[in-house]
Amino acid sequence: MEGSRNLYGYLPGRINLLYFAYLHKISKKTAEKRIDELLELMGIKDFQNDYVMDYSSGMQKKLSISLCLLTEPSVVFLDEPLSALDVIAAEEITNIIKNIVKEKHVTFIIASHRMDFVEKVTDRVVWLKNGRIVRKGSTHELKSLTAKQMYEVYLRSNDSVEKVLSKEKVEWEKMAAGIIKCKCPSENRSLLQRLICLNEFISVEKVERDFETIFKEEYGNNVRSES
Amino acid sequence: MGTMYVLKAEILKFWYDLKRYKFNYLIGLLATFIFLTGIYRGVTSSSEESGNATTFIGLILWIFAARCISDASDNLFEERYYGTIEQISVTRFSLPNIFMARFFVDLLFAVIRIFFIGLPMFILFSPKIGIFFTTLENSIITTIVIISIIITLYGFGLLLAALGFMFLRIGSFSSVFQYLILFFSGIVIPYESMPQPLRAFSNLLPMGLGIRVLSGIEKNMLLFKEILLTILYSILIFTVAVITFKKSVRHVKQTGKYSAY
Repeated sequence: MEGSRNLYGYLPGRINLLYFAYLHKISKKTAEKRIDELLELMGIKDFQNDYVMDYSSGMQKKLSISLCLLTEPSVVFLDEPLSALDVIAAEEITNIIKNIVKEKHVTFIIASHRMDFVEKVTDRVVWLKNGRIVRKGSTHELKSLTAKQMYEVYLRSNDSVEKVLSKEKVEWEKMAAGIIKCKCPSENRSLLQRLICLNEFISVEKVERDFETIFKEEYGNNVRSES
Repeated sequence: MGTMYVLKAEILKFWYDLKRYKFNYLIGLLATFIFLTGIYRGVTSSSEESGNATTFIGLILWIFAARCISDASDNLFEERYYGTIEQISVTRFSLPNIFMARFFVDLLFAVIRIFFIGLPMFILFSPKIGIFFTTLENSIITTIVIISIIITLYGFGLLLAALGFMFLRIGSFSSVFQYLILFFSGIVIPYESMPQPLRAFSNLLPMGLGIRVLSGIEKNMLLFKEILLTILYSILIFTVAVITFKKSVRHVKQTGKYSAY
């Protein structure tokens, strides 16, 4: 499935599925039964007779996934399944994919730039950069492999503190009420100690980084994830 | 038996398209009726050489021509526009087979269109088309020639679609072809009154030779050479079109431009 560009907009949702069922040589009786099940599973049965061009992006995606499942495949390829979806629709699709994997034992191979989604639905991840594999492994492994602990140090802002931070070349930003937030990698222990000893020191917090942050830090923006 | 599935699929798709756009289809019928009636009236009143029956059959066949020439490239354009080309390519039927089934369904609809356009025209002008079916020989030749013309027309359409895979906007040329066929196949301008270079061009057009055969029948002449050439030309064009189409599909798949729009 490539986005949701695999449907005829001028046909009703149900007819789209029936059309492709015939092209897969599925008999009308079997097709009707499967279509009922899939529309029920996706929660779009009430809209089955509406034209696809009148569907929302989320509904189109659900119908596209139904189309992929029509032949009861063991493997489904999805290309950017969350593209052009709002937060709620994205969550619905994520849950639908998780349910299908659990109930129908289907393997999904997903190409996505959405690391939060990848983290939620996948068991194994492959990171690609310029068409080459840069990392692969289970989602958990990859997260722990690449995870570097990070501390956020909060300091009162003044010229001398800003000078120190600029000299150390660490990531920092001025926040409201004259407070500076500084990101300090755990391996740079000496810097961490020096910051804590400053008179301007307020507090320090250990930061849990999500998959997306790790991904961005490791490879920048020109990477896509196949999971 | 498997072919029934692709036909069922295409009939289903066509039926829903017709249901949704029935008004557009009706207006289209009316527009074609007015256009062809005007042309028929103009040709038969100004030219003594053109036989009424050949002009009538020619114009009716031109309705097929318009459909045949644009069918494959229109389908390709639509599949690429909706992004469904990859989806239909992973089904149990090949792309040429799906297009062929779609063409067959469109052809059936063209027959209905012809009935709705041709019948009022026939009542209005009473052309003597019975001449084509007076003897068994004439009937067989007329049928063979009409089938050959339709195959040649679809071959041209498929060739246009094949080129459309590589040159995205070539499909727009289908309307140019349709009017070249209408005016230079001998339907509107009689073959005999065309200058020599135009005659050669007319012979290359999908309907040129066929119209000459029909015109011959109307004048009680059987042009055997032309009959043979009409059949051979249809086989040649269709074979070249299928080979070119398959090669184009392979080429765009290799270059990653299969679904480019």
